[in-house]
Amino acid sequence: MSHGVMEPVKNYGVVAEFETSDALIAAAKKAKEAGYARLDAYTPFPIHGLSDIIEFRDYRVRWAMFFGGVIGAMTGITLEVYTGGFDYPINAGGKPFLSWPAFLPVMYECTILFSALTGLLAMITMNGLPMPYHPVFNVPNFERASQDRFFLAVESHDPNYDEEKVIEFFKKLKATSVSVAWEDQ
Amino acid sequence: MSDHAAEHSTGSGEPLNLAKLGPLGGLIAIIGLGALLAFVFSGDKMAITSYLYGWMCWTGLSIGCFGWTLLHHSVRGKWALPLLRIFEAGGSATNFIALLVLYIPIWLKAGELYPWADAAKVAADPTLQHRAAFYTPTFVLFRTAFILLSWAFIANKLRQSTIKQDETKDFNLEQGRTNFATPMLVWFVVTLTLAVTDWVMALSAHWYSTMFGGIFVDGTALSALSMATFVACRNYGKEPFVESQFSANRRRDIGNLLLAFTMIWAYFNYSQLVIIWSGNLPTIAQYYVDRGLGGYQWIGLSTMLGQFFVPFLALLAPRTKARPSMLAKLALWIFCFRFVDLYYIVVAMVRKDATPQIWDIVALVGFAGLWLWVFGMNFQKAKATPQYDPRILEVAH
Repeated sequence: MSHGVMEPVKNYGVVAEFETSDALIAAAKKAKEAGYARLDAYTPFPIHGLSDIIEFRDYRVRWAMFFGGVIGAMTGITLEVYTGGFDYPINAGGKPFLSWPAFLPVMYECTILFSALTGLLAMITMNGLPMPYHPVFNVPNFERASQDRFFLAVESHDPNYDEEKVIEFFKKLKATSVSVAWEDQ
Repeated sequence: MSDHAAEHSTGSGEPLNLAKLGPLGGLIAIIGLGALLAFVFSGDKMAITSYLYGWMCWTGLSIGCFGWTLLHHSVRGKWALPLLRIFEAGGSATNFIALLVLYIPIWLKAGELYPWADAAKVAADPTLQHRAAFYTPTFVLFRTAFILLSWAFIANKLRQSTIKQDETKDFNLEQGRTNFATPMLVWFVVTLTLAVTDWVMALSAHWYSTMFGGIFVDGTALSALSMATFVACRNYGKEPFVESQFSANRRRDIGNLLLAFTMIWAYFNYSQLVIIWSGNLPTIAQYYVDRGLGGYQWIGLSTMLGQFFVPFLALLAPRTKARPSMLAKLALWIFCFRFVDLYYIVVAMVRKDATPQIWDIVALVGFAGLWLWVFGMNFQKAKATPQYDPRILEVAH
């Protein structure tokens, strides 16, 4: 994308750094109360309840995994019924060719396999991965989001976004550091 | 979280009074169990089977409550804190002593239930003769008494400790409970396996299953957790089950545990089926032959649907776990299906025909009354949630 010559580059948002998950949760609640809607959080490990607080509601991966599982179960049972019942029936211990107790383990494994692979692929594609560049990488210290620090962002497409005010807001919350995630030109 | 605001109660509502159920339960127990025992001792073979079934169902609930108490003190997760007093009251020393007293009719009438107690069957069967030293009436009663009293002792010790800590706030007590409860959890699983072998598996002369202990550990845990979830969610908004102590996250934890134990139920039962089905040996396959006939096949099918598929699919959805009213309904559903499942396991050992008898209902209701009576008495004796643990006040974490 090319920007016009005089058009200022829009920043991605304001990012605050916190030392504990509790501080992050407290800040996320305050930010919600202050009316910020476009929040995102970056943490080294999943924090229970955080996605509820920042109202992250994207269920597409969940549903993809559910239907992946259903398709997996159907694939497993179809494979077994076709091979064991019609294509190449083998008499095993005198049991009927179509015996559901014997079919369940394969169905079950296929459910999990398909569901897990669908979930992984859906997560990668819907997140737009691999993503070699993201403005949030410009935040100093951001590599510690995968180590021991907790980051909260107010993104610039928030209706209440005002860079100066957000910076002030985070400073009041005693964030370890507050920085602007600028877009590279 | 905020989308179910209508169901969120933050204020301290009226306190929950579970003890009020006690006297009514006591009355039901005296009438129901009195009538049932009168028929049992007049020689009604249907009645003694119903009695055993009722006793197993409500003993299972107490065992489950006791198991959760042990697990809580072993791992000290905060998810069980809002329910701890329910588990303590449901699996208390009083429960186990009452159940031991009520075991005596089963023991006296063992000759009508258990092949080992029937001299004619033993005389004709080398397997039963081989087991005769283990299955003497005195030794059977001794084992049951020893196991139930050991659980009563453990339950009492833990209960006294939590009540004492409410008063003294002494943290050492908590560590002491962990040190005690963890080995006792092992003792619990071993003795429960032994107990259900004596109580249920011995109803058949030859059948055995190594999954049986596991099936009962999971089944009793599921009974107790669904009961406690129902009580807590049904009374959501009353102290102590208000949002500040019984938050959305707690309910999700508990819903996920219900989901896990529903899945283990299916896993254990299916494992038992597939092992026996693959082996196809006459002595052990008889279990499923009996349950494939006489109407039991429909009960078996209904448990597959009602004890697994319905709660499994319902609990996959986060919204089921988010709403107390929905979680309460689902917990009640799971709880009711425990009785169907136990009917399939226990009653089919004795009766060839699956048609439920009027005495089955009398037994279930009578033991339910007794259980509520004891539960109410116990629940009243302590604060509805542990006061010692600061985590109980951690709001919505």
